[in-house]
Amino acid sequence: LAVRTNNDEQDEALLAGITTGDRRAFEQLVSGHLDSIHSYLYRMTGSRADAEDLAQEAFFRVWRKAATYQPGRVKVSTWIHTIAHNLCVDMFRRHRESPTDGFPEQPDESTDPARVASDREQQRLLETAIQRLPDNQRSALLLCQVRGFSNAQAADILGINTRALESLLARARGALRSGLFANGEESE
Amino acid sequence: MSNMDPGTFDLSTFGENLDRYGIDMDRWPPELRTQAAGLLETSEAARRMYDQAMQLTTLLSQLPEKAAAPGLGSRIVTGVPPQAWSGVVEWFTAALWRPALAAALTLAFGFALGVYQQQPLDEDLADELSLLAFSPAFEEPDYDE
Repeated sequence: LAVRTNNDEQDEALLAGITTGDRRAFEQLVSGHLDSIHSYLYRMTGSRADAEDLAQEAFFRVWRKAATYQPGRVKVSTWIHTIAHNLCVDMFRRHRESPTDGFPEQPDESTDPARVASDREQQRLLETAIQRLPDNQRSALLLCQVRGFSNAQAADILGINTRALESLLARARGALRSGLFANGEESE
Repeated sequence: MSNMDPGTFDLSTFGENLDRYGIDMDRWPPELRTQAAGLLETSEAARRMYDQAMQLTTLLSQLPEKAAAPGLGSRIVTGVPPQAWSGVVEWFTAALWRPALAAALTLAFGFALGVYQQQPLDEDLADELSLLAFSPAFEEPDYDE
């Protein structure tokens, strides 16, 4: 079960402020969640430009729909990710294409300059393998293993039940494991 | 999956469950946990598979955040319309449309009922009533007497 933290209460207070037109509250909410939302969208779409457009639209919707948020049903972060995920799905539906050519843009060298080359290579392989997953497996994996949502929260975001989410996770992890460690997968 | 015969818990079943429930064995169904622990003790391949899953989990947790471009946050904040207007629109569409619809339906129903019940008088009956109203035979009784 989701445990409410001070951050959750603060987020709910910010949303309440947004319903009254408090731009300062909106600014705080954006600054608290933008990187997480952007990162999720970037890994889902494989494009910084798409991620920025979708993140912008997601927060516009947060601004417009703040009054419809139901405290206690889901956390604010879950709610915002749901909005972002739905926008992403809509975009995939429109384009009917999913990025499969690996990560097209420059890796973030600035994050950890001391990272050794082999780690970078492994990470690049992982990024590519993630991009090659089907959309629903990729979103399940990113939400649970990268963004740290519980299975129940991720299932909420994706609009599926927990068992279905576990199946998506199983297939995603299996694909990554066999993709990254193919040579070590011998039976006894 | 969790009601399986202990004899069928082989390496591939272990792998399937490892992918489904993850490396934290506490999150596995208890009956599978015991079998998995047994297999991990006896099978080198199972241990290797578990190590790979651990490595994958670590790699995923270390993926760098794809931070938003520096100006994006302020573009978003300055790009939203005044809440007063969008708030009213949103409030109306989200909260007020149901009671407004109920009121409109009630009004329409009342109007329709009123129109339906306002039948034109039968012509003969109208003549009869006007004759009766203006007839000299009909006089107001004098209540003073």
